[in-house]
Amino acid sequence: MFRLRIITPEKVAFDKMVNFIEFKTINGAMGTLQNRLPLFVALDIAEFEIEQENGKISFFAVHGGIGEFFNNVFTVLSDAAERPEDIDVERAKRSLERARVDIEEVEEIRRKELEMKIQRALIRLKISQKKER
Amino acid sequence: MGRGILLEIKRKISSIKSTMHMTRAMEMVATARLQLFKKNLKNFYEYEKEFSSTFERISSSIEDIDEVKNFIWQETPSNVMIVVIAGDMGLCGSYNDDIVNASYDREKTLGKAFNSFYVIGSKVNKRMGFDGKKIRNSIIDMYSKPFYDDAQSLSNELIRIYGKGEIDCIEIIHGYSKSSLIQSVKDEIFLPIKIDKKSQNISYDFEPSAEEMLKVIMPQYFGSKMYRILLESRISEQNARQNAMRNATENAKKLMDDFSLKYNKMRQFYITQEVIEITNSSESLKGEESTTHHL
Repeated sequence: MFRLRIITPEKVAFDKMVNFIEFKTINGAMGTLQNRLPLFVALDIAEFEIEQENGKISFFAVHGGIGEFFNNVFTVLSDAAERPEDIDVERAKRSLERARVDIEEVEEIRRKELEMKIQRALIRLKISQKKER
Repeated sequence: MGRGILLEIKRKISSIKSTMHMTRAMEMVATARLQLFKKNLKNFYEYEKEFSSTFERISSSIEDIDEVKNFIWQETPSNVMIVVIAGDMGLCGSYNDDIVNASYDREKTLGKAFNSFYVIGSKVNKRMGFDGKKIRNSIIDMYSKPFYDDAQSLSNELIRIYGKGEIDCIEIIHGYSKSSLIQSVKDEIFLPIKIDKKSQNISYDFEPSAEEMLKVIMPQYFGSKMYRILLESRISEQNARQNAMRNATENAKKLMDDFSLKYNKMRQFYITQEVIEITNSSESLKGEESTTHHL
């Protein structure tokens, strides 16, 4: 067991003891148990799976950021982290459509921004389908 | 005879009263805004603290400095851009002017190393335009509530300017509230980063490498730094406004007291004078009557 903290600019989204976490770095998927070596990861815009102390599995949509494992505490610092029930599905759908239209006619510099937007919307939609087990 | 003066005083009192209503309302608005900002900052503070310390740990474990050397402090910069952040509205005491004066002082001390100003806030923009300063860009109307996204895009813009290579240092001058009563001005170096090469005794695993990682999280780091700066300066502005308006309200109260005292004294004076006039004339009439009676 180790402690997981997910901190965003707005609030502390999660602070509990967990058994296992699985996440996606910009190089690929990864997971960790307790007593790992100290670790720094750059997180991708992707889903974040948590197995809590009582065996319950919950999900977060994490929008990039860093994760640090040290002394049995895993700290995630991200721009945003949302639970499935917090996600506004309609809004995500709308923003996805808008970004897809915009990306056709935009110059190179802003393209990356829009790609990120699309990725965010996609991951929101994906996470909103998940249920806690 | 004296009615004109009395009327004038009365008019003055009512005008002071309406000004007082205004200053009191503004004080209240400032207080409400302040509460909101303070709540924001409290939530955000933990995030920023964690992020800064994490960032330091990552940057101190960089081995291959060449990859990110553009962003790292190496020698005294020779082309400094100063970002000045102040408010869009007046009526907040000396808040805006303090910041402008501090930035002028900084320009003087930099001398030849000074490049240009980047201005946020219409008050500063106007004053600097009047003084004929070199302004690279100015952003106005960002005041009401700083959003995280705004801060992010602003910091991206600054990084883009820095990346062009014309300037080699970005400094930010902004208001900072030491306490709710004392407002001061803070001068921070935004870019490049100073790396503390302290001996790090923990060896971390990196995924990806520390250099790669630094590049990836750089925008996020600067965004959160910018957001903190914006929040701090807004809090300082609202504090300054609150104090200025409180003082104004108190002054108005004092003025009103003075004037109503003056008004009452005057009124009493005229009444007494009239009474004296009436009694005098009736006395003299009485005297006339009695003398005629005698004759």
